[in-house]
Amino acid sequence: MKNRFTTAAALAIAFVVGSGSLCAAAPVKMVVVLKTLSSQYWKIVASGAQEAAKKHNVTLTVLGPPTEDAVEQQINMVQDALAGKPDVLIFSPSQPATAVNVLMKAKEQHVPVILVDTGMPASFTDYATFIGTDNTAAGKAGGKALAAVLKKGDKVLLLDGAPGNPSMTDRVNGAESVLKAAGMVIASKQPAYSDREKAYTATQNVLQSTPDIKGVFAGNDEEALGALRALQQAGKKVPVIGVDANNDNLKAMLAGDLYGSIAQGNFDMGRLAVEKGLEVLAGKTVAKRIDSGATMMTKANAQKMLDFRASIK
Amino acid sequence: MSEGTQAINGADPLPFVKKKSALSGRLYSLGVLISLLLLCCVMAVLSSRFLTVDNLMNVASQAAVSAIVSIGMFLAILTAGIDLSVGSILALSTMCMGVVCVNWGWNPYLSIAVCLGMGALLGLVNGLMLTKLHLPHPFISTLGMQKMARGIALVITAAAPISMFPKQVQFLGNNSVGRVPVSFILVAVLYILMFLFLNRTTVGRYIYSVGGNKEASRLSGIKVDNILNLVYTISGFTAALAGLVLAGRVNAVYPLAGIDYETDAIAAVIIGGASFFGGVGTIGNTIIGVLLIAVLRNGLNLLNVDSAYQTFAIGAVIIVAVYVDVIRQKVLKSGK
Repeated sequence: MKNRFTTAAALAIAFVVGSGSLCAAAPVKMVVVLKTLSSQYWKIVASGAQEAAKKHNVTLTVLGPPTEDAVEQQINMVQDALAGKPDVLIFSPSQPATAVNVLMKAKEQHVPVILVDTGMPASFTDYATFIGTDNTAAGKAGGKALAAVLKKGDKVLLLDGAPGNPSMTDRVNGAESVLKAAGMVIASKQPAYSDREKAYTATQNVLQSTPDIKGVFAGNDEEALGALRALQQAGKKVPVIGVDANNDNLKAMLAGDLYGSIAQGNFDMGRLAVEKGLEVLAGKTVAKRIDSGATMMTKANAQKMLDFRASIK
Repeated sequence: MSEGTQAINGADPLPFVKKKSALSGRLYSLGVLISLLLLCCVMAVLSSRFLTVDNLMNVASQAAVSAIVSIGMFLAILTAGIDLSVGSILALSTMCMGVVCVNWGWNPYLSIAVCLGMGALLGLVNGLMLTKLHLPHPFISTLGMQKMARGIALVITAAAPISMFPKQVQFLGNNSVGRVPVSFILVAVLYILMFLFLNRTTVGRYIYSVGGNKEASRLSGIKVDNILNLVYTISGFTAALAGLVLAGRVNAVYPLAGIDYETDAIAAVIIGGASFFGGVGTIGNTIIGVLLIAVLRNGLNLLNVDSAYQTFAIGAVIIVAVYVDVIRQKVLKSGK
């Protein structure tokens, strides 16, 4: 009888450890699948997660396809990650609609899912929390900053991301609403596929039809630099604002070329994802939506951000 | 090229099928198969998770889409052509299915028919651009189709993805028989059918013949244009069918689907030993090429290798595979 009890107890302990509760003996295993690992933005998300993992003794695996449009490959990575039976899955879906089936698998396996940067369609709620920028708010902040340096009736160019990319569209729409309310005219809104060269071409084309553009808001920093280059070549100096505050853009601000950029809290996204993952495992209640914040960067605070980045890696 | 050429012996009416020596073909087949098995062994040693049933079934479902696209690509390359439009045809066909099925509420089976019909139609247009407009090479016609189909796919819903498909549409991509994915069974059936078609039917032999020598085939009375139209129609059809599997797998269609799938398919066909000059290659080796790429990706994922190295590794495998073939041919020649 006693023997049976010990066996049962041992089994129970094995179960608890196996199911990945916070047990000192077996470090918690988390897998991070991002949209890609080949850009600075995502590398910072990854380093945020890695720092938190180190601090809390979490075994962390970071995966991501070579490009953001390798959608099926990203789904495959989630599938492969789940095969390793992680305790937590941290995931940023490239095309949210495509990820529903594979996240149902995570649910079947009882792996809690933490979404970072990009959420799932409203109908899907089987995730622990979504940590990311409130993109509409970030866009509004950019619009406000741009409106502050423009006059009523000034013509503004908006650069959107790839059609169907909700984060980019939310930012651009956020900026648009503030700019319109402040009395600016939206001269054109172009998809620039989050790409520097495409933004460059789009801006060149718009400058043909509307040479008196007075400001540009771009959904991300690559686009902002593309637009800046086209404007410079046309001999125009107008404020350009992007989103992400990439190092190149911060340097362009310090050089006086670029007006500003909205910094997303991407390092915090990674860090919070790991921390919230641990809280979920410990059975704590975690808010379903966590805003990782956004900061307006200009020449004034650009150096500080560069120094912070240099200090993390 | 082993079984293929064997069937041609004796009173075969098609003397233009390239006769790579049967032994040489067998050796290459064996080489590719051994490479795949070796790769599996290496992965199994490096990761204890590789040889689990779950993981192997993952590989099977992950390889399915590329495997189906590669059937059409194999036929195109077999006729000394290429089909660069497969990824875009996949996207456009599935987007059309999404619109009629989800947005317009059509019957699921009819919607599937729209998807497959659209793929075949676009493939036929590829063929006609080659045979009726006499564009100089399928590289051009299918490159044009790649851009046009992608453009339309992006326009249809203003680039919004469509999701929430009925069960019937999801069946091929999302269901399993026991633990075996239906998509994998579909792949097996398709490859067997294609093997029989290519090696046991007259039209199938004509395809090899046209690939081996177009002019000679024409002179011997084969309607070369019809064969080419058929090849590109099949390629469009298989691309759409792959799209149906993908749509089921992710329960969504999106206009950026299938980007770069043509290069993976070309890689699989080339690793499988088909010649860009046409007439040489077997469908059986193509599936091994597909599996080699799928195992490489899966294994490297299990080992947490950055995907940039995966891309590099696949490039390296293509070069090594073709180079080994070059050396083998040299050795065989000098041995004669």
